[in-house]
Amino acid sequence: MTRQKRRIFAILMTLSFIALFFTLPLMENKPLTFVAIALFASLLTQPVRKGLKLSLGNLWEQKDSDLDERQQAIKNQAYRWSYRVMIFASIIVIMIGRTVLQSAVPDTPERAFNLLLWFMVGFALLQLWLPQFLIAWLEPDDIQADPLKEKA
Amino acid sequence: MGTKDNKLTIYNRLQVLRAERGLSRQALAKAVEVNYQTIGYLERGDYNPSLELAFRLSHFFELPIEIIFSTEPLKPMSEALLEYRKKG
Repeated sequence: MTRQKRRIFAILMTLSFIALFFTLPLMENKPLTFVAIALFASLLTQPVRKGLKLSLGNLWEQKDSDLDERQQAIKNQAYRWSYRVMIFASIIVIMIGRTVLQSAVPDTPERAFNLLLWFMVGFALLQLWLPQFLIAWLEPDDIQADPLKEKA
Repeated sequence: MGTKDNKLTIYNRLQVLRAERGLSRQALAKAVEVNYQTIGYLERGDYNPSLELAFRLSHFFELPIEIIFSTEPLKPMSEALLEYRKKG
């Protein structure tokens, strides 16, 4: 897979996560509907996820001891950037959370809980997806087939 | 000295050496304990090896490191070996 194609796949996955994130508040008090939507989205994005997995292996979830130096370097770079983005996202969430709590927008404890849940889901999605996205973004084009493969 | 985006470009003869020995990327990767994609990236110049990997490749091909890797565009191997032997 070329890097360009992989980046398009990564963007598609990100857009589906964003769509899922913004669907959650609409599904307030309908957790089963949200789960159904999430499963449907997961099914729709299956070919894209499979493509990325084939191209990258499971680089982001493999132990360092199973990876070579180049793979370790790219994984570490992806996680380093993920942590930076996560810290930035945490600051934003704390600031928004504080503002929301101060202005007392969530009029009931239930609404406040739902809002907190929304942020937590977003945070979890970000944490799960970001390293994969960055690895998909950083890896060069896949290597073409080896003409000497048969001789091995 | 070749540089790209302030990063040193390291040229190598891995593809030629591998082809000469009729080795697949998988076979070479297994011998030097890396992923086969890494061999491809090395050959394509997308990745610069660590010193440790460079030594492993040098031992595997039984050639001095400077014959396999260079910071200058590479000359034909016969010419490079002749120069290396002259230097002693």
